[in-house]
Amino acid sequence: MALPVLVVLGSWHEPAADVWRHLWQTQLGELLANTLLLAAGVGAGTLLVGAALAWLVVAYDFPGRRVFEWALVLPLAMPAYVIGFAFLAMFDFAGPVQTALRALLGPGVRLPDLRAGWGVVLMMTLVFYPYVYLLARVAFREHGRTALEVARSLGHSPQRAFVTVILPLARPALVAGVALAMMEALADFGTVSTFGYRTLTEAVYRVWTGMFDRTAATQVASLLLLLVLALLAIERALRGRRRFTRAPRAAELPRRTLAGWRAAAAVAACGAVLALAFVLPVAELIAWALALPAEQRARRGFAGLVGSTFVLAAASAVLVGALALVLAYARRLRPSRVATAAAQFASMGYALPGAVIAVGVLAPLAWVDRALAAAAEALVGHRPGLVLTGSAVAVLFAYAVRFLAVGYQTTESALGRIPPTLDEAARSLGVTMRGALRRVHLPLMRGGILSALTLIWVETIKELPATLLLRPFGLKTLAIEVWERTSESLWAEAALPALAIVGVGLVPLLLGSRLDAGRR
Amino acid sequence: MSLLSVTNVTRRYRRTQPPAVDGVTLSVSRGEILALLGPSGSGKTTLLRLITGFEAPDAGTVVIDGRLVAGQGVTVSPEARGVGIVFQDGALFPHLTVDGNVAFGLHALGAAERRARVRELLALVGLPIFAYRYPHELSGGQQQLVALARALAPAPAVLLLDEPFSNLDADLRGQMREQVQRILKATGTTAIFVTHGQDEAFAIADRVGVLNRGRLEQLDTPETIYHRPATPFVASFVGDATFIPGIVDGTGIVTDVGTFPADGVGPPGTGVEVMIRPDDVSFVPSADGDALIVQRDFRGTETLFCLELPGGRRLSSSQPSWATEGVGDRVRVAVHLEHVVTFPRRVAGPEMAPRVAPGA
Repeated sequence: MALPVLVVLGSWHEPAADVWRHLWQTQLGELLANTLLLAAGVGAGTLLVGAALAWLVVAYDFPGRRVFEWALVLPLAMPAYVIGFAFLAMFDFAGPVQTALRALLGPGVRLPDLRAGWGVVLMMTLVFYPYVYLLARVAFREHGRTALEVARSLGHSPQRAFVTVILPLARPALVAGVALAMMEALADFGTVSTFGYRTLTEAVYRVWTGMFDRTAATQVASLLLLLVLALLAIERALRGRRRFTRAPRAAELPRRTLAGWRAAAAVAACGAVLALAFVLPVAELIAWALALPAEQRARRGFAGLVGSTFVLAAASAVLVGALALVLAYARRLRPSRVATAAAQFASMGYALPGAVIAVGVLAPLAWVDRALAAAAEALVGHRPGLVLTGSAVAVLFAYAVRFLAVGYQTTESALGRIPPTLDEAARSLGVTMRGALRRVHLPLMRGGILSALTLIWVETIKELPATLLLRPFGLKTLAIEVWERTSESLWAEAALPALAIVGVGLVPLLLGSRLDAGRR
Repeated sequence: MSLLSVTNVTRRYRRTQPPAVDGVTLSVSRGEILALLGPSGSGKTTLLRLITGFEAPDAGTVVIDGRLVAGQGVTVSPEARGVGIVFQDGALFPHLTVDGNVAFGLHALGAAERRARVRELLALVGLPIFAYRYPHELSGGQQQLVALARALAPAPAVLLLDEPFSNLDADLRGQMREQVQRILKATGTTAIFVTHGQDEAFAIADRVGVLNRGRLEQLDTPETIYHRPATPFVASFVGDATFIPGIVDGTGIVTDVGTFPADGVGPPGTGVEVMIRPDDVSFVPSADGDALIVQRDFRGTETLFCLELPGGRRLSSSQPSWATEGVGDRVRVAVHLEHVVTFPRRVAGPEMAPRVAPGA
């Protein structure tokens, strides 16, 4: 699993001087600046929106609060490239918004073009703020009450207590949420490419497919990788020595009921975010999808597309899920330093942008391929084509690197809830370790394994850059279809696959909130 | 004949730290119940895990029923040792019914035999009607009884119980103790019982082993452990004890609180410490008495007094709960020792310090 990272970092052995010089002279400065601006903008935006909304739903009561509390997570189901193209379509010169404005205010009216840095930041803020929102909500809820009451008993006003006590207590959660959002921003390929905003991720793809220079692409990827690692290091440092400790059965914050204009403002704030980030884009997608003539839908082979995407995702889920289970169980049986390190390394994969993983995966596979081909030639005197590169193996390998963390964390926490005395009880009753896995652990982990499989499945369906770079010839997924149609501004044709992705993305959210409700 | 022999077993977790179990040797006879008693961190649980095979000894051997299971290059895996365990938390499988839990270790039997054996064991622990309940539907005590039935089902050579009652309420604990002892005796089970409560150890066990810092300090009947402790640690861990210095002379051991017989303690001039338990000490109120009551603890079944002697030395005295003397009263102290227990003079280490510190 570490291979792709090492490959990317090791790519400097054979510098592709000319391409590099070209990049340096022309774009590198711009690429770096754009990437950093994007990350910073998304970080600030998600922090502001996520933390504010979390505080609003935790500390206050207003009409519709319960619904908003839950619904504000929904934008997480929407990949950034989907909301991006929905907005582009909506605010297009020929789109509904501009058309309406022209009708109202005359033909001269123009809106600023969304295809700019601020547009990308806005899009990503709208879909990534739930990371901050979710973590902040938990932190506010769990530390809130006692800390707030102590602060107030020491003479702090509620507003002051929020700044002096609540925010610092929630800092680890806020940092973690913002870091997640920024990672996603760095990893994003679909949105920046549709918006024509040049970042490092997008450059990896362009150098790869446009200039056919893999070494240079890998080197650009290594820059991106360094940015991600720096971000991880900053996150560690900012989080400090504090851990997410769970106050035992902490009482919930007493809510203050808002009335009058304050209540209206709260509803408006939540409603506006939810409408922009979820309701409007989804409505837009539905409208486009309905507008598309039925025969055209059929011609596009939508059913086949869904089928191949789901099968690929299922293969990814089974493969990654099995790997995660093996890793977690090995660590339980022998909690050695090697197993622990492997687990920690594996959990880093999620921070790696898909484009970085793609270039990192390809080099070792190509090497194995050449070795295989040479061996085959020596044995039977006939040289087969490349077996691994450009086959589903490459894509699946990339998925394993990227999503192992998702599977591992879920599996490991399910396994961790099983007390070790159960293992020992089973063995003292004459059952081997493998027998214990089958008769004790697997039955008890069923829920955890199912949710791990679901999460990996959904993430695979949403994944774009790695799939795009590594897919076998002719393989198309929903995400690729959306991206290709949007690149051609064929909004209507992109709408149906995009809706399918959003629908799939809702699955874990619905499951999650059901589990959440069950726990209380 | 001993069913389980542990010989010179040592287990060290970290090089830099003293061993968790340090050269322990003990043996248990068929049908015997042995209690291992010691403070937390004394190596009780490690010793159990060495017997079950979840830990391997660095030195020494474990022999169960004539078969070498650990040491001398042999390591028999836990599932092949025939050792049953009841854990502190019961460790029932939450996804299986009571029935399924008890049948878990009976995979070698046919379905009919298995069913019969499960029924037999549930009857034995008095829970036949709970067969189809899940563990979370049972009380804590019932869970431990099911855990016991489950461990006994495959008829293990030795049953180990790791603080099985420590999660239960105090009044339930006494009841469970009797019931478990009855079941173990009725089935003729050889058992090792780990606990840090002396009451539990004394009530249930035929013999008690006291562990301290990985060493077995004494292995004897409960009575001997209490009345004739082999070391100062055993003396103060099992019941309260105060140590009073004395010197042997022609008449006996002379101390601040009287002279006691010195049978075989040593030649005249030998300095010793005499163990005094609170129930050895009585007093009568007396205006010219030389001792002073400095503390009075009403405990319900007894009242514990702390007496200060002229030199500043303190003694505990256990009196009936209706004793009315109060702090500040002057008294005359009398110490009556049924068994005189002495130890060589020493510098009191922290773990051996009597509960009531001498001369505050």
